Amino acid sequence: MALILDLVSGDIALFHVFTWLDIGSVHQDLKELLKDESENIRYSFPQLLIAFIKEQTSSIVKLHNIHPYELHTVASPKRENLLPTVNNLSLSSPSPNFKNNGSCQETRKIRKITPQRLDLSSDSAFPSLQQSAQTREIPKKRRINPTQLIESPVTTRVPLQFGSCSRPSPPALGHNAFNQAQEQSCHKSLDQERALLKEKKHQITIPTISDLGSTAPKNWMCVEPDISFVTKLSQLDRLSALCSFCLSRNLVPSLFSEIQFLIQLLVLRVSPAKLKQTHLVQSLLDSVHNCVYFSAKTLEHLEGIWCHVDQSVLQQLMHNPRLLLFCPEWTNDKLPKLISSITNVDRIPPHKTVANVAFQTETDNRFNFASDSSFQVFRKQRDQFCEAWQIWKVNSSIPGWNMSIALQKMIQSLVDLRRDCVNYAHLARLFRSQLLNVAQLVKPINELEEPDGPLGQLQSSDPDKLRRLRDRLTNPPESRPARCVGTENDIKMHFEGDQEFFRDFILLAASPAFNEHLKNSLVSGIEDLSSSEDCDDRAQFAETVIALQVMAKFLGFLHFYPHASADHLPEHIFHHLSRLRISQREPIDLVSYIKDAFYKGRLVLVIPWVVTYLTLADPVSLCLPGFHSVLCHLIFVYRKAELAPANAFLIRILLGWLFSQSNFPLPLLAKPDDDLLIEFGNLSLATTDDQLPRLDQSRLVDSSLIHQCCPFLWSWKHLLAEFACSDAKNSGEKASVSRKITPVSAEENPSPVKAPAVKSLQKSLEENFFHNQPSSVKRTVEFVAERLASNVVRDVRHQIIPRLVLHAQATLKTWPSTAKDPVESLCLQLCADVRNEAASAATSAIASIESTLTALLPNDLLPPVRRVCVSIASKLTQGKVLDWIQLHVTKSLFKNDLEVELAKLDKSCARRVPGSPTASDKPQVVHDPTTQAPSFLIDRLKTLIRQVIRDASKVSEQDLIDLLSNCEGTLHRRVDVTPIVSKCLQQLTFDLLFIVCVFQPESIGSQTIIAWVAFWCKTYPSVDGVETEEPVQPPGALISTCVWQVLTPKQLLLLAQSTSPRESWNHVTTLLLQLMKSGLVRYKDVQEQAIAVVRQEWPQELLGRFATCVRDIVDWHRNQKSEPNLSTSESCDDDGLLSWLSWFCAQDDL
Amino acid sequence: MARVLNQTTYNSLLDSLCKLPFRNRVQSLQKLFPELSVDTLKCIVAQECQKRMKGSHGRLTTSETVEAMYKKFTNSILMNEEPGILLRLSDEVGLTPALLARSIIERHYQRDDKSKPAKLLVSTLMKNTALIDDRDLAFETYLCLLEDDEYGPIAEATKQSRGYEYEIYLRMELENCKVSFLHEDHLRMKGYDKTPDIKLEIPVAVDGQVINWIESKALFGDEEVHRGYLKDQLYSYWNRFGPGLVIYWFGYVEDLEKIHQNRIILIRDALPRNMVLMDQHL
Repeated sequence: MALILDLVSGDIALFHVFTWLDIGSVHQDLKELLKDESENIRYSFPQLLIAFIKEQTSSIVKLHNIHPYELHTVASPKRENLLPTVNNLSLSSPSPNFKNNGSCQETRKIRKITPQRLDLSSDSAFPSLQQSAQTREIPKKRRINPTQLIESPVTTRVPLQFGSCSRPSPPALGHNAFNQAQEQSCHKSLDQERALLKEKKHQITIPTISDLGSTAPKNWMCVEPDISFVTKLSQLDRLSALCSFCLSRNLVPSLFSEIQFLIQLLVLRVSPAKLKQTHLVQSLLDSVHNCVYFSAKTLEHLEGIWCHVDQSVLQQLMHNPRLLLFCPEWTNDKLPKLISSITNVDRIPPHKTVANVAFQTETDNRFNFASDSSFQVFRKQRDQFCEAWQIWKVNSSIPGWNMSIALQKMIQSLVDLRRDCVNYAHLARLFRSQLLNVAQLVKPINELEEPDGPLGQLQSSDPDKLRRLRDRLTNPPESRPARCVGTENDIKMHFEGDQEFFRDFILLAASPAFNEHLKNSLVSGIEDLSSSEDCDDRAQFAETVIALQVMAKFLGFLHFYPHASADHLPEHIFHHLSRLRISQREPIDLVSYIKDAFYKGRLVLVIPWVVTYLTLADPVSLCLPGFHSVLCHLIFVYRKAELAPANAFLIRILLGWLFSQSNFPLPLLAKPDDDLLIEFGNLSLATTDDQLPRLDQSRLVDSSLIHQCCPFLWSWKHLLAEFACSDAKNSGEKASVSRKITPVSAEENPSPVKAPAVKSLQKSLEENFFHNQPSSVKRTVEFVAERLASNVVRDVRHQIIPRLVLHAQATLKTWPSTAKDPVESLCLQLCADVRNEAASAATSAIASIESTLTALLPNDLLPPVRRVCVSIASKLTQGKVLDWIQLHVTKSLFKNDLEVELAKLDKSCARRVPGSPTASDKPQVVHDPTTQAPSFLIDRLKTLIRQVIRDASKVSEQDLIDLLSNCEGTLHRRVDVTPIVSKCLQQLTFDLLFIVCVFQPESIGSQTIIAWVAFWCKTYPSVDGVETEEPVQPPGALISTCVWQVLTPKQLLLLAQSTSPRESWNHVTTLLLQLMKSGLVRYKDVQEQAIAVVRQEWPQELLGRFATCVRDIVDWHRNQKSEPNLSTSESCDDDGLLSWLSWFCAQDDL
Repeated sequence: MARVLNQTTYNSLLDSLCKLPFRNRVQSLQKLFPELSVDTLKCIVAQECQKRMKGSHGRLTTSETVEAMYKKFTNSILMNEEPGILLRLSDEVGLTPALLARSIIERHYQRDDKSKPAKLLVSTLMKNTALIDDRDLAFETYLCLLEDDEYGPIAEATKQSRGYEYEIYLRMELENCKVSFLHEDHLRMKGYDKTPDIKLEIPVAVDGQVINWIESKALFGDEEVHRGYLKDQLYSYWNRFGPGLVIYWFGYVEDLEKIHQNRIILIRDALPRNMVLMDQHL
């Protein structure tokens, strides 16, 4: 401390100090001061400096009070507890609960533009919780209440309005007419406001204590800094120079918290009353004036930082009255220039709008599951998961809604619906995809869900106020919805917005198996994205960075949650726990990621997620030996990594944030570079692998990405805005959304060291070939091969295999039943067939490689080089296809299909239904939309039959002819006839013809029956060869399921109702004969039908006609038999029929 | 003829429906609501009937009631009543003719231990009544099937056919509009776990909304029907493919889309004519 005091008050050229800090060389003048400890002190100097400043300011900072009017307000004790105290102004461990006050001016904008909306903040609508003090400038209607809305009695704040937008998040307004109008209006009042500002300034330089009863509470209750009261100017200048040097050279451990502290000094407010009561230790920074001066000067010098910060922060700086006073040049000239130089042109485009996880055949279809049941169960799991997510989305903002009550059962049952690794893995994948989807959807903080209406307006201007209003309306303080899990204490396990669902899902599921799979999924996701090549455009890059952060956050959560504790761990327990975990393995090898990133120039991609992951670490973890190396690497990166300015700012601010975490082992930060270098290993050994694009020097990072990755940065703005706001108000509750850092992630296991394999000469030739070509050549070749092979495999899967399987299934029918194991031998043959066809598919795919590669490879490639590429790509393609075949085309692939088919055959249900759209051998039908729709035809037939039976409607011969042609049209020229419909039409047409034969025999022409039978023959051919066995039925129940039933009891009952039985019977006999002639009905069938008939009692007349009919059949059959060329298959039935007939005739005689 | 009903019209239609006798309700409704399409009315009547049966089928087919109905039936046969015994019984008890016939057949073919016969047997007999050994039951059943538009193999085939016809029709319309898509069979072959009728390989926009899939429903979309489909199908499609479109060819009740909240699934009664295709010019 003395050293720094000496330095500051001495006259050693600061230049020498800078050199010493930079490279370690000690100038003569400095030697005395440093004595012999130059090296020891060098690395801890910045920390000493910070500690010095903190000490110097401590006494005055203790008096800080952000509410200058506090004395005048009747604040409840409870509320007072919420007020920030000096303890919140920590130097090295910023609390994440920064106040969010950044939106004062927008509120005002609303009022100006749409006065009718004013009542939102009016006393009547939202009466203030506290007595408010009226001020001179405030219109009567205005209230000053504890919310942050401000309105601006006090002129100091007014310039904030000017021409600027300072919303708390990146998307800026300023492009619509609305805002322009507003800016103009601000413009006009500017002069007036300036005048007021002067007046005000005058007023406040003489602090007065107004008494409590005063009705004119306009007086400031805090000391306003004045440049003329600043003492020890030169010492302050030197201190400031030292400080800004350390800050801009990344010598201090946490850039973030030091700037935070400087801003706190800038807005320091001390009540003169307190100042009088307190005895201040004499020091360099013992007055508000000095503090503000020091802070302003230092901030001014940090130019390299401000260009990466969001515009709204700069706006706040620019309009800060104290800076206006102390650094007029900076605020009036440089800052405006800087702001205008930051363009919004290449902002990250709007986030994705698709909210669901797309189903991808590659990863999600049946082939990705081991069994049908696994596949079916996952289908349910997917839907239930989506359902749970939707339920959460709809309900989570409803107060009193409790996720664990509403969803726990559902979540638990869905996660463990099938305890199977495949299902867990798929679920983990789905979880991760949905999480990433949502993370990309995360809206900038002040965009909310109500676009229209007064609330929507407020939403876009002051979301925080809206939130508080809502809270107040719906949610008395006692009944704030309890979080499903997690206590106030484990702030670090805090997840924002939609991510809460995913955290709570994990906790509610409480499934170790799922957690394990999720970890794996996250680790592999991080690995994939970390080596991602598509980082060329900003949007893509930002997406990747954020996705990585989210995955790392959840990995960190899964890994560290079991070790979290809300309590401060006593030392002995701490040691005990660390002993237990001494050899614990991390799920991801951070060191190798960091090293890799360092050498490959990809730190800007990797550091954000590594920091997020580590932020979730518990105190014990960070002290484990495994982490020691990780942290050293990070410190080294912090000090030494060279990146493009914005990239560097991003990773330094993140690392600084990590270093400032309370559980970070501070001693590490004072380690000399050399020690860290040992940890890092020998730099020269680094293998340069230029496969991946180097990112660290590219311009990929902009301020919006920085703020997205480091939400804690908003606290700078909040501090400034809060100052601006509270200037204008007497007091207010400042509880606001705290920005949290999103803890991220995990690392992957290091890729296993490649065993030195013996490579063939060809292989090494190829390796060298690619090595000496641009890396894109290799990538292109591999990519083309990969895609082609994948296409061939797809072809094999979806075309070749189904076709061959279908063919084999058909073969199965004709397979000699004597064969031992038809399935086995067919499978073998199928394998061979598939392999052959796949090989030829691959060959034809390879034919296209040359043209593809020519189009994709660099134009200036020599033709021979291109030829080599083509041949390598061909080889690769073929190899990949072969690999796939080896792995997948096995007997078991077909076994299932064939066995099922065999089982079907065994059940003898193989009678094909013609007209079935799936029948593969069906000729391609061209759809004829002029034919009648099947449903229409069914309806028509049904109505016709009903009318003939019940109403005796006439059906003419012509009607039947028309119907026949309609049926033919429908069944033969349409593509929308299903098997069931076809079958139904078969039944209905037969019924109709039979019924017309019975009830209106006069309508049956000579050719009618023949024509219909011919139609049926053509449309419903019976399958020869495969005789269907009747299913086992109760005795006497069923004979045959065939449609063509002529002589069954029902049909005879119909015949009995005929008014001209002779004609009817003639037609029916003809019908039966025709059916037999065409092979639709077998002799055996008639036999069985007839037997069934005679089991029942019938009128004698009917039996007589029946006997005649049967005799005709027998006669016909006999004739057939005598024909020499008749097939012999039915001859054996002869005896049965004859004996039956004689028996029957005997009955007839009775 | 209108196919899209607002809630008020739909409610008054249901009201009138309840008051009408079972037979010929479509014709009566036509007179009351001349502005509505006949197909829509048929569909609503059929769905109302199905809803009613869903509610009362179990109660009306307990073994006791079936036994009583069977007794009644056999008695009527013995008494030589006019054909149409089951139809009259159906009106009396409130079961649709085909459902009644099915119960009677089940009773007729009951096993020795009085348990129900195999389902396959019963459905085979229903499909081909000529196979029923009892001639009167066979004929009576046949009459029932001819009379029933909601149940029984003929009605089922009609319904199934209608669904498929519209699916095919939709495919053809899409082809005419040069929209490229995969249909159910393709998707099943590719191993999708959920298969909408149409999955658009290149999305199109309808009324400013992008859709990725289309489901065809040849019926009338009321809230109950729609909720059922949302649960079993539409949300599943949304979960996998994003926003989509469902077509209720016979109309629907307005404002059903509100049910979806933030999940966008459009509802129409025909394929929209104003589809915007993706710009494919270079």
